[in-house]
Amino acid sequence: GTYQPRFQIWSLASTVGKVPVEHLDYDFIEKCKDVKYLEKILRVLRSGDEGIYPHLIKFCESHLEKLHPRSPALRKENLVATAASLSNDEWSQIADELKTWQEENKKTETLLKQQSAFDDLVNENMPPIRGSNHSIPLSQVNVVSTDVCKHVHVCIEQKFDVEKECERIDVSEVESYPPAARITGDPKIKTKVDTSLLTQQEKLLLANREKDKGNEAFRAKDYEEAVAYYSRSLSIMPTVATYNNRAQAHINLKHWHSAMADCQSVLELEQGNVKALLRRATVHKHMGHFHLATEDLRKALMEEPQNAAATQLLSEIEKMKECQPEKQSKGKKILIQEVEEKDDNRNGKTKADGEIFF
Amino acid sequence: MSSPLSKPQIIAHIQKSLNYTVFDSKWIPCSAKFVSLGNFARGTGVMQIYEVQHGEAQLIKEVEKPKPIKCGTFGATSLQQRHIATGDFDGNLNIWNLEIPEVPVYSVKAHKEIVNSIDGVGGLGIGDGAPEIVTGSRDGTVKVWDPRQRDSPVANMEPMEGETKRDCWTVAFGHAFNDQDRCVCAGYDNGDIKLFDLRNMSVRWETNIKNGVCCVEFDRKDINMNKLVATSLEGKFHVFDMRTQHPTKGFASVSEKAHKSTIWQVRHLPQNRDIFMTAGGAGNLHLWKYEYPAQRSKKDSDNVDVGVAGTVNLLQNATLSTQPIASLDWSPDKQGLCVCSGFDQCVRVLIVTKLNVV
Repeated sequence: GTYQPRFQIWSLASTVGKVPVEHLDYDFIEKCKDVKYLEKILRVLRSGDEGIYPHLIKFCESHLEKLHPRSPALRKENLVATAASLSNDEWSQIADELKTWQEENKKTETLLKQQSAFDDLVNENMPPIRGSNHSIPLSQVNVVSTDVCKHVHVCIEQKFDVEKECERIDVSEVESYPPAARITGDPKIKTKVDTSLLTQQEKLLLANREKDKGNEAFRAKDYEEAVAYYSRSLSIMPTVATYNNRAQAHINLKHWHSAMADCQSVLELEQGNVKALLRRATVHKHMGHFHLATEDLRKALMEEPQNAAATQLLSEIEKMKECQPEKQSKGKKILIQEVEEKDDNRNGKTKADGEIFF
Repeated sequence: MSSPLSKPQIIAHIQKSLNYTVFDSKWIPCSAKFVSLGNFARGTGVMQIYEVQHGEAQLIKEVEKPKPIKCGTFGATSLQQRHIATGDFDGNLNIWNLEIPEVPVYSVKAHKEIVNSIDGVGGLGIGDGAPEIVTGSRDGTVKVWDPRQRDSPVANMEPMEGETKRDCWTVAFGHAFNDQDRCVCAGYDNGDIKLFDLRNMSVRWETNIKNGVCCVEFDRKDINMNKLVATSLEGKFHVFDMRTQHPTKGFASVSEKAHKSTIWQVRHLPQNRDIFMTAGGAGNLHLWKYEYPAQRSKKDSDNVDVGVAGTVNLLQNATLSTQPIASLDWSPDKQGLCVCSGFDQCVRVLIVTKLNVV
């Protein structure tokens, strides 16, 4: 009987914006499940307007943390850390890294300076100067942007239709999201970079940056954009890591043949590359080449006997070989692919940086 | 979400007191050196070059200039030249060769009043287009310059005759993902944010965030525009998802009241566009990570695409000083290394750890 009216006051208070004194109470706080209201109580307690209760503040904070660990009310101001606040090992590792970087940088800088003689050539290669002194009045928003939106809108609808088609075949699609961005895989991103006038140092820096851009797009699930930036990076300087990353982006897009080609490129450069073997095995599996997949996984396990992903994939393939004869119905096959893809995603998430990137 | 152990730490590595008011500090690309810009008490400008060495910032060059220097950028220079473009209190845009900084290699009276903000694109391999510099001034105009064209801007964004002139506090390039597309975003003292499309020479979008816009930055300049962060005078910042523009609603955004006072700067980590640091009026830094929503767009009731904003998570914060931190710059080369300067006449070199595991 007493709780009911109390609750009414409570909900009223939460809308009006005042906290009655009787709510500044262990019992009430413990029972309160409303994060916003708890934050309000905390604000009143911290203000000291109703008295100073350090224990109650702590109690309220820890209760709020249980309900909403990321509550802005729980943020504490920290003093900046210094070398002294780290363990010796931690700091010396950071200091060493910094020192190595500085030394390498010095070399790069010297090399860059020697190349400055090419400046004039670079200038000739630059895009032309924009037509002179255009004026844009600040006031009116041009309607062009709406047209752009409409145009994009049309493209998207077509895209969604394709995905609907897939859904019809496969019910378990619910978990996989459509690509994040509207304008994914924009054809306007050039996939080749003109490097004719770049020095080796510049190429290295640029190739790394384009790869970073690819990784960012990958994390945002814009796999087509990721492929475009990995391609730019590869056009500047092909590396095992970038081929491997592009292979994974292709796999996520279900571009099996392109994924295969990228894995091959890695394996030509580095025979026993475990990631490439794993990814090629995945592709083989999706294409129904169970024997080739098994072969790749065995090779991967020779390189890394403890590789959990390889072991798992191998046992899955063994199962598939048992329950599924050579020619399966298309529907079933895709269903199994989906189950597999979820695992891939999980792997990708937990080990995103270690596994997929670099 | 990262465990507490893997949380990034903000470490004060070097602190250097200066004998002048410092407005901006910028890393010289491909080096362990930074430039610090400001004004002497006697009313002249100063440009200093420091090298980070053996845990100290060593002054290697200092030049005095007639007018206080407000801001600088390396965004439009080549990696070989690494010329810095600066804006001063008298409205001048100058480009300096740091090897011989006595005489500018380019100089133009760009504005009638102080150049508050400057940004560059097309250099350092950022984007495929022409090198361009944008300046924003108290005189209410935003101008785009090509260092190859001496006396006049290549684009001028100014109020129409009779319109009220607003103080432009911040400018930033973005959307430079091929050799034609390019946007400039500008923020004004009355809370206006305007997005200029340089390809179509039009205002593509505008909004108002109710309080003076201290800083705007795209998460990356040289991709199909993805996100934009705008910080404000009263301690709030807004993150706009720039991928989906609704004809009437514009871009979806999320805002966060993070600092007790003005947020002077926002800078995205060059190696990961979804991590950024805000620098505030109470001498503190906040490190954030943007998390994308499951789907970045949806259909509204009229079946038109509308963006969906994600969330921002505080990764770390640190108080450096009692005075505002007015500028911050991440090293483009060494992840986690950053330089910042404040009204307490100090430049600080910071190291942010564990950025690769968040």
